[in-house]
Amino acid sequence: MSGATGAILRIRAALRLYARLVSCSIRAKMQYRFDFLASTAIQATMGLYDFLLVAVILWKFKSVAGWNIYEIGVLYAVARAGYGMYRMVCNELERFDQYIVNGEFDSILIRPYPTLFVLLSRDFDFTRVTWLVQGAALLALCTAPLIRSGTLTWPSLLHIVLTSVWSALLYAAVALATAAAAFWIVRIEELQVFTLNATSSATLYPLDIYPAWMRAALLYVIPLGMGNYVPVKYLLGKGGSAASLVLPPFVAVCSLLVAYRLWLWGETRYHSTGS
Amino acid sequence: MEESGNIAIHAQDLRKVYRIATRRPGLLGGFGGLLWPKYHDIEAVQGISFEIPTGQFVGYVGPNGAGKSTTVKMLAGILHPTSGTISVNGLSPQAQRQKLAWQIGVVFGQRSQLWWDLPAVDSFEILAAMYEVPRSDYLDFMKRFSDLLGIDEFLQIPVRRLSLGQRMRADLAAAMIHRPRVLFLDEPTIGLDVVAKSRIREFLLETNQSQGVTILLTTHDLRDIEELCKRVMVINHGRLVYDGSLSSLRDSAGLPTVLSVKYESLPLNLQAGSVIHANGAIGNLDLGWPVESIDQSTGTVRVAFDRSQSPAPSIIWAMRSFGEIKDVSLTEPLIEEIIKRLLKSE
Amino acid sequence: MCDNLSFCSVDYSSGGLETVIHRQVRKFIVIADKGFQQNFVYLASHGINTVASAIFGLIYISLWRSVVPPAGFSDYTPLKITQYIAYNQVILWFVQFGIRVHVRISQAVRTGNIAEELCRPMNYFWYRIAQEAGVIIYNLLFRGIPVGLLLAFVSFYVPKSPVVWLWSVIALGLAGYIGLVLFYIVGITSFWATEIRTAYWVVASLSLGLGGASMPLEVLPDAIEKIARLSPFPCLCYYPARIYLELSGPGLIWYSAFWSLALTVLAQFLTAKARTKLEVQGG
Repeated sequence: MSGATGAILRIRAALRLYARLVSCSIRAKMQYRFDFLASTAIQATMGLYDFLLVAVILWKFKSVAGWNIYEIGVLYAVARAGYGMYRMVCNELERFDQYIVNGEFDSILIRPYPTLFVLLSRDFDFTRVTWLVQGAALLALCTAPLIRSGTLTWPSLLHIVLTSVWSALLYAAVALATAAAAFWIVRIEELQVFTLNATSSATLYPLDIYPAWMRAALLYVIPLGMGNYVPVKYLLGKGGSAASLVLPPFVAVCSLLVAYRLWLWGETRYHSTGS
Repeated sequence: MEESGNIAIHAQDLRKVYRIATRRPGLLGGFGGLLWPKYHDIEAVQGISFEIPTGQFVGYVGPNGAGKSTTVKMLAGILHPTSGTISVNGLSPQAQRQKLAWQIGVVFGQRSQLWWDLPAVDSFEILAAMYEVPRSDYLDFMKRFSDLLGIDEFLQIPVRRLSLGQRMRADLAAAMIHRPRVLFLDEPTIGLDVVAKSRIREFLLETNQSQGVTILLTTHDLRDIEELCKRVMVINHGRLVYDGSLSSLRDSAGLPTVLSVKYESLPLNLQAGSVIHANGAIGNLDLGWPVESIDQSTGTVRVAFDRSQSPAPSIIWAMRSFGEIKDVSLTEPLIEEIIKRLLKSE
Repeated sequence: MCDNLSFCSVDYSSGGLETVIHRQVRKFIVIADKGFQQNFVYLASHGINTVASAIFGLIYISLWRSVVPPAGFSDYTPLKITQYIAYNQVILWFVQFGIRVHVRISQAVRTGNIAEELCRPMNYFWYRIAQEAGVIIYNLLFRGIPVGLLLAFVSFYVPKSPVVWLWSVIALGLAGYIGLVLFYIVGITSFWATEIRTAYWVVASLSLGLGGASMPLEVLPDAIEKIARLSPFPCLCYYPARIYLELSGPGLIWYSAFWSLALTVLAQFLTAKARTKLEVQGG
């Protein structure tokens, strides 16, 4: 099989395989409709708590670092929608330490595809679509008054929808790097709380409020802030430049490459130490 | 697909060494261990070599921790050996893992490779898509697996709700969907009941004989070896202590076969330890066959003898002189005993 | 025979509750010892967890610092609100996080062990409370306090008066107790409901929202603030914080005392009801 055609055929096969996984997963989840609705409701309240906090604050204080409630809502919505997309595809990354502990990673290694792809094809978590829906709903709610007041234009809105994709990619990069750590330290639950939970909570609010070091960390070390804060700030006319729209995808792709490099490195280590 | 002649699996001087950090007790020791770690080496596999021709069914046994799983993992490309060479179907599992993956199937007894939350059939469909199995082939396989393994009984049930026997059958079918030339089985019958085990053995036998699939079977259940494998490799402490046919293993062990003779009424002149001579007399020297035990309640006398030295009929003939024989049965030495003796002599 | 409402007069000298408490304290010492001496990965992950908690505190502190005007609002100066958040981040490890009594109870119900547990010669409620008390003390000392140390880089208030310390400890003790009872009640509902997930989320959300953990009650809209003050939730974070930060006098302790009593009565009542249900159903 020659290189290029071989690669194309393999990619087509991989896509077909993933499409089958998605349809099977959705079918299976829909069978337990009540469970699905219940977990949807719980996720909805979970997601709303963070927003409720800032909503209450804004109700009293009118604005946070110059951002009003609709603007913060946009920030929030983009992050949540991105998180939903990331979690639907990359659910297995969050429980990757189980693969090392139980030796399930061995089962991944016997498949004729790169391990990351095989891992992600173990599950497609359709239930996370609620985050996406929440984000979209919140975005609709918050952008309406902003468009009316002229802060936001329609093209900018489309751009904002696009940034949720960069946000998803950044989440994936951080999650991938954290999962790769499992090859060395196995138990990554606490690390995940730090790199994913704490940081994503932090980026729900405008980074202006944080001390400089924290802002820098959220933009350049665990760059989740690039996924919503940087582009949204520019699109809402609060600062930044056209670079603010180019930087996020660039940082997202670079982060993914770095994270993937870490993953491959970890995989090599696994070959010599086992589980 | 390359094949180097008709050798399916070739392993040469395989070694696998793990470096483990030495744990030091106490708080100070703990700190020390963090800053100046000391390591010690554990040799899981210490220089194993073997060749398995295409289509052979080989059993691989040994005590826990002997290095069986480690060997299989190296063959499958999961672990990289510290030194030595491996080739499976002419490919290197280390360097060509993905390419080899198209041609091998692996079943781990203790964990499933199926999609846990989905109905069993979905796992097959996803794997068929993964290995680009043509639709017609897939349907043929499903029919074949239904006939041999009865998987159609539980196709729609989520894998997490299958019994152990059902799940193992499904895992076996899943491993064969892409028609691998080599199959690695790591304890596939563990925890199964007799009926399930025999069904799986039938399937493996059929697969090996009619399809010519090379099979390496790791197991603790030596009944599997007896029924399926002509060749058995015994590993202990990371070294191959036996590699050959099962019959010569049995012969070389020198363990006695036991003849159980049930009498109408128990002969009074026989006790445990009495030695029976060919002419029906009793002697105390080791020129005959010793009585192993006497069961008063059933009137049975058990005599031990070496099958390769004395044919069973001559002993039965000798036993005639002690009374009226109601029933006779022979018990081969248990493989477990044979292996145990082999390992003890290590 | 368990006489649920007269637990005070039951004799525990035969080794009922005392033994449980003693056992828990010993277990807690052993865990602390083992946790740090023998397993450095455990220590490292503990450390990361502490940093993550501190970051959450920092998020809320930053949020507040950016909105509170220099003159302050209500009786909170910008500094005071920072210290309010910091203090709560520490005690959340005592009154909310890491409590698993509800999970333990619902698991016992699911596996059927509950029948055996209810037959023990001590009050089931006190048994569970004593058991979990060790956990929350451990969490406060080894998860909460380290967070406080980290947040001290920003600002952590330390009262100078020993009387304030006394009232603080009492308020905090009651807060921990109320937290335990609330989650115990969530656990007990597993006798009637198949899943306690919803009950848990309701209680957890209410205690975070109305308990004053990340925002003082004064910020809430008036109607909600009134409802909050009528509920036991402010006893968890808001009252202890007000006393510790010397923003209020010890009078708030009366509320905590009242709710401790009321919730205990409720819990014992529900336990008795659960016991009856079990006896009727036969497990």
